[in-house]
Parts: sequence; C-alpha cells; structure tokens
Amino acid sequence: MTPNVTHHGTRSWVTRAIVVLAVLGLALAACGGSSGTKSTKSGGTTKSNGKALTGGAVTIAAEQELDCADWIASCAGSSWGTWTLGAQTLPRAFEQVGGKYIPSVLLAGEPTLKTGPPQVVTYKINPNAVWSDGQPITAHDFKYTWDQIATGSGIYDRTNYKNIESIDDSKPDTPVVTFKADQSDAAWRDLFGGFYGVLPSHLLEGKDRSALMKDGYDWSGGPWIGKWNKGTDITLTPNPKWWGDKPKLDKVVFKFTTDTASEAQAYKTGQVVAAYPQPQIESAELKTARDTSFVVSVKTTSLEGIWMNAQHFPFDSKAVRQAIAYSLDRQAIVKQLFGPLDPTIKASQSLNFDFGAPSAAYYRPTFDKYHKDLKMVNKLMTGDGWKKGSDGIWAKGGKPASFKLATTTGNHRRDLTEQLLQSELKDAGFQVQSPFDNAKSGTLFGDKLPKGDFDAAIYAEVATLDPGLCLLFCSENIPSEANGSSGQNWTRLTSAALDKPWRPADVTLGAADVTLNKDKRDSLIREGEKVLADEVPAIPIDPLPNIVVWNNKALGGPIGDNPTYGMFWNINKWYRTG
Amino acid sequence: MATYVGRRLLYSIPVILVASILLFVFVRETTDPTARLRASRDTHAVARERARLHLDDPLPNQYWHWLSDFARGKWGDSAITHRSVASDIKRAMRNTLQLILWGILISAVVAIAIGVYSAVRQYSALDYTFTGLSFIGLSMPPFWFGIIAIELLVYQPKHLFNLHDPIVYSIGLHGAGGGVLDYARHLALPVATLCVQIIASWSRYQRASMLDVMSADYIRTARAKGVPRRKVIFKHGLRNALVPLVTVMAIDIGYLFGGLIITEKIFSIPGMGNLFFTALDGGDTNVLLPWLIIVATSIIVFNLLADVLLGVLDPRVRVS
Repeated sequence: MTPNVTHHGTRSWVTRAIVVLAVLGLALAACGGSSGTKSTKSGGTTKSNGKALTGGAVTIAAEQELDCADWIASCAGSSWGTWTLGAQTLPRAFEQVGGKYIPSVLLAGEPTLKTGPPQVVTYKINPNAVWSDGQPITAHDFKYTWDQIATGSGIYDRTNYKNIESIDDSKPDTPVVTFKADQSDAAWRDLFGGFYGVLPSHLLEGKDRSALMKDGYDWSGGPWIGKWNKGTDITLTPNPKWWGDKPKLDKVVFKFTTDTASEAQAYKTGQVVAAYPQPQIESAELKTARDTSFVVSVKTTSLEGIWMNAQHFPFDSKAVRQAIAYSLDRQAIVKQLFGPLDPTIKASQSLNFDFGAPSAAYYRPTFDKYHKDLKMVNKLMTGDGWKKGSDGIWAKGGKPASFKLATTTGNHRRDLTEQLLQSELKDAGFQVQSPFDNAKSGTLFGDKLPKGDFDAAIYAEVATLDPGLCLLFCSENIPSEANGSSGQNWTRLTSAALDKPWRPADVTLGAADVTLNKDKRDSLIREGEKVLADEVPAIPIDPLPNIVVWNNKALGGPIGDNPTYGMFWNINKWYRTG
Repeated sequence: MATYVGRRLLYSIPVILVASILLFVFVRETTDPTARLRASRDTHAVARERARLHLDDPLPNQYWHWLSDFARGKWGDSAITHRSVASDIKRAMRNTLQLILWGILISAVVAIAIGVYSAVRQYSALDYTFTGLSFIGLSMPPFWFGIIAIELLVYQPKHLFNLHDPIVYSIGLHGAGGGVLDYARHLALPVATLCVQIIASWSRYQRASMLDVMSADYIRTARAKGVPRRKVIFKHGLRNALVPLVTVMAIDIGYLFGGLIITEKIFSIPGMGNLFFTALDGGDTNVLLPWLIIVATSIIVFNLLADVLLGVLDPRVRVS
C-alpha cells in the first residue's frame, strides 16, 4: 500500500503546484503589460513618457570590457572603458554635444582666451566642484594632469598638451594655461576633456599613477563612483559629492556581454534594459522587440571603406583605383547593409569625418563625384592600357585585374559587403578572387595590413585627433623600419601632392613645421582632401552607424547617442519608469 | 599506499613536461606573438616583446626561458587586453570552477539516484523512461540544449506572463540585484546545460555498475542472512558500485576545465572557455600558452586523482 499512498501524495502535490503556478502566472500577467511602442530616429535624444521612479538599479549590456582604467595611458584605448567608467568618474572642462563644445559643470563659465602669442587660456573652476572625498578640484589638478600627459611614460597621446608652456596654479580656482610662444592651439577646448579629463593631484601626485588607476579606483569627480568587477561588470553608484545633476538611479550595472547574439537575446529577454550594439544586420531584430526605442545615429567616429594597397598590382595604378570607385553603386551597397536598420543612411563621400568638434569643420564631400559609371570605367581602363579579355575581365601585359579582398572573419555585415563588392566589380570587369582573404582581427590588423600583405581590405578607420589624416595617408607613415613598422598608412600610397599640404596641417605628427592657425589649416586640409579624392587610396562606403536601444517601459530620461561619449554620456539623468 | 601515490605522482611529471614542450612548439610555430603589436603606436613595442620572449634564440632556449618564467608566475600581459595573464586566468578559472562545482554536485546526486533506482528496479517503467531520457541527453549537443532552454525558460515565460524580469537569466553569473537568489537564477541554465550530458552518461555507468554489484555473491549472501534491503542496497551495493563511477567522474572533471567553451559562450560567462575563444580569435599567444598548459595539467592531475581514488577504493589496484 505504501507506494500507492506515495503516488497519491505526489499527484496531489503536482496538482497543487500547477494551481499555484497558474495563479502566480495570472497574477504576474496582471502586473506586467505593455503597449509595444517602437521608434526609429536618427540622432538626438529621446525622452520617455513613462512615470519616473526614484532610485532602483538597471543593467545595461556592454559589448566590450575595458583593458585598463589609467585613461591617459596607452593601455586605455577602449572606447567602452571611457563611456562606462572614465566619462562617469573624471571631471572634464568641456562637453561635446551636437558637435559643439559646451563648458561643463566643472567650469564656472566659458574660459577667457588670449590669442597671443603666446596663446593664454584662463579657466574658472566652479566653486562647488569637489572630488568624492570632499577635496576641492583645483588649478593644481589641471597642472598635475598636464604634467602627467606631457612628461609621463606610456602615454596614449600627448597631442595639444605638448604645446603647453606652463600652467599657473597660484590661484586654486583659476588655472591659467600658457602655450609655447611659437604655438597657438586651435583645438584648446580638447584639453582636460575628451577621453582624458582632470586627475586628482591630492590622491595621485608623487605616487605611481598607473598602478593606482589601471585596475580601477574608488574616487570620483563625476556623477558616479565606479567599481570594475573584472570579467563581469562595471557597477556605478552615485557620487554623493557630485555638484551637478544628481543621478536618479541607485545603481547602474554595465554587464560585459561581448557576444552580439547574446546581447540581443539578453535585451529581448529583459536581462538588460539598454544596449549600444554594433550595427550588424541582425541588430535590426531589436527594432521589433517589445517596448523598444531604437535610434540609429550616423554621426559616428568610425568610417568603413575599401582600403587598397597602392603598391600591389593592380592598385599600383591610379587609373585602376579611380575605375574601381566608378564601378560601385555605394548608395545601393549601404542600402543593402543598413536598410533594415535605417533606410535613410547615406553613403560616405569623404575619407574624413563629418561630425564632432575637431573634424566636422573640415569635412568636404570630395568623393561625391564617384558614382557607378561603367563608361567612365572603360575610359579610365583603356586609357591606362587595359583590355577586356574573353572572360570580361580587364587585363594588361597578360595579367588580369584580379585581386584578393580581405576583412575580419566572423563579421556578417562585412561578409555581405564582400559579396556585394564582388558582384558589382565583376560587372565592371574586375575579378575579386574566391575564397576571400579574410583573417582574424588580430592577424588582419596586427600582421597583414601593417606588412602590406593584402590587395584590398574592408575595415573601419576610427577618427584621428586631427582632421588632416596625415597619419593614415602621408608617405612618411607607411610602415617601415624608419618608423619602427608602426606607421598607419597601410594603403602605402606615396603622394607628394598629398604630403605637401597635409604634413604641416597635422598636429599629431609633432613636426616642427606644423601650423595651428585654423584658417591656414583649413586651406591646407581642403587642398589635401581634393588630392586624396583624386588618388583614391581608399573608397569610403559608410559612416558606421551607432545604434541606441532601450526598453522605454523600464527606462526613461533624455536618452540618445553622443559620438564622443557614447550612449551613456548623460546617464545621471536616466531613471526607471513605472 | 604512499608508495603507490608517489609512483603515480612521479609518472605525471614527465607527462606534464612533454605536454608543455609539445604545446609550446605548436603554439610558437603557428602564431606570431608580436603580430598585434605591429599596429601599435609604440615603435619599440615589437622589439621589446621579442626580447622578452627571447624570440631570436633557438626554440629550446625559448622554451627554457618560457618555462622558467611560467614556473615563477611571470606570465606576462595579454596582447589583447594588456592585463596580467595570471590574473585573467585566475578570474576565468574562478568562474569556470563555480560552474564545474555546481554542475558536478548536481550531476553526481541525480546520476547516482537514477542509476541506483534503475538498477534496483530494472525493467520497470521508470527504468525504461530513464534509459530513454539518458539516450536523449547523450545525443543532445549543449549548444542546442542551451538555446532551447533560453527560448523555453527565459524568453517565452517572460512574454507569456508579461514579466518585468525573466524567471532565470541567460547572461553572466551576477545581476544588478545581487544576493543568493540572483546567483541561483543566473546559474540555473548554464548548470542545467552542463548537467544534461553528464547525468545521462554517469547514470548509465552507475546503473551498469550497480547491476553488476547487485548480482554478486556477497550481496546474495547478505540478503540470505536477512540484512534489510535498504542496507544491502546502500551499504553493500552502492558503496562498491561507486568505485568505477568515481574514477570516471575524476577524469571528466579534468576535461571540464577546458571543455565548457560552448556553454560559457552561450551564457556569456567569463570563464576559461570564453578566455580561450577570445585568445584564439585574437591570436593572443601570451594567454593561449598558459591556458593550454593549465588545462593539460588539470587533465593530468585529475587522471592522477582517478588513479589514486581507484587505489584507495580498491586495494587490488594498489597491490598490482
């Protein structure tokens, strides 16, 4: 009899469990509810209509984990690190919003500028500005930050800071920055801002800054105090001493979710309430997720294009490079790649960047002359001595216009780009060899491109600090023994016509003949951009868009993209919604 | 016993050394540890790394330098993250160990229970059910089970019941909330994914072993003497039937240190599997080599443990 009793008991238990679950399910269903709001916008911030709740914690997906939190050091190159931790904890002099510089709450107002020579900038620090330990932010913090960047070892970039002659910190609330007599810095608003900010001298001076910062730190001069739980997340909690807009959330967790598919799944299942995903075709599926606001921004720091090796056949001929540019309907390619995300995205018409305070003023659409024109292809190719063979492929001296195309493996969007290019170029008489010459990102960027072991490659170039792009295209930056194989001109283009105007315009080179006069630079850069469009070492395809996704039933506030500080630049103004 | 353990320990040392030599040669010959540094703005980075790794020396010298550094804990920095390899591996190991610990614990309890029940109630309806489920479990790849589990246990319930949060999570090991419940909700799916195949496999071992033992003469004698059924099963039967399973478990645990790549990838767990995947994809030999050595060592150590356990549980092995 015992087994029967047991079975009966089990049945009763199961029945009770089912009833409890059903009731629980109905109760939970009553607690939930959604209207399925969706939106697609380009740029700007969007406010949610939900009722703002006080406090609470939210989890947000972070696609990358930072490498190090010593923001001025060469180890801190990750944008995600700055977006999620650096920008939240370091005070900075200026904000970049909508492509314009705006004095931040660190300052009492716009600094005064004496053009000189020597150029002098006088800042006035907000009297309420304090570090998280209550110590005031002072002129000496500015001086210490400059000293570390200009003279420290293993610094990521000293641009602009090396032009400073001295910083007067005699008045604690008034740092006075004097530039070298022969230098005037047009980009002075980038100082003590951007990805660097201001460092606390009272905590770091005389100590090993790198050791104290690289693995994270517990002080802050921003709205949040950050904790980096390596391998897992970054957790932000409000800085009680922050003098600006107080954070509305009690806790923000940036959970490292480096796999794109996992990130989408985490968002759709409510495990994260916001994401800033890479613009893969699959990202479009998030548009249809429930209660989702989906914003696509083309004002970005990344420019994707086809980069040709000007020392390899057939790209050693300028006519061929131009013919390739005339072979492509770039707008059609962009539509195929990003149409599901945002059908209004336009193809890029420059190898420069059309956003952001440093670059936007110099942007000119010099590549807009290149559109699909097979007659022009024929003219250029025949003019250069090429003839089409029976297979429809151009040939010269018995060698066909056939080349290898490379990109990073595992990127679906780039795989599709390759296929589209192969098809369009075949119509124009060029053969893209199969299989593609793809490689892992480490091999492509660490080996193949620097060594010149490629014909053509698809990848995104990130905005340089200077709009002259000398770093990417001047002949002295071709990887060589002279520059320790560290040159970034992987197209290996040698053009005196380009070097002449751009070399003196590029502040990143640190050359003696560099000019910082804005008008003169503008004229030089304009001249160089024309030459670049004529030389065609690369063909711009698209501004790699940024995607901002959030659950508008869970999260509210002025949410949107900032090309410099990412999606989270104003996260202190975000709140939970009810 | 000490002689037996000592002898097994001595055998393991040359095995680990040979494994390290082979791994070192394979990795050095197939990847360039300075590849990533070529894109660096630091013009001396490549030369510095070549000097640090003694890449201009003959291969045996390179190995010797690497082994000395490895033994002294000087594992260098990751070429991708620039963080200390030792701390990255330590952190990844800690996360993987959590999966392994819970996975093994749950698998062992369930598999033994199923195995014992199936053997004691051989050819019963539940025995057939468990047998069928075992075969399903064995033939179900973890990536498939993981994805289906996410769909059925995370996505569908959330949308079916309009829940604000899913019942269980499929990303990472911790959430914003923290606490034991949050931890359990994060661990549930990856541990279940890990357990399915293990339970299926171990329960078959346990069933076969238990059947073998239960038909032995000493069990028949115990029954004839009137020893209670429960005591016969658990004291005389299970205790002896566990011997083969324990050795299988020890060997399997060794493999798990490097074998959770798919589970960790699906559930975004920053463990050893994910670390390996990232290092391999990025050509980060600074991480790959220590990772491979640690995984190889853990396999060898757990094999050694299996031998020792077998010796402890079965004196005949020690004598032979």
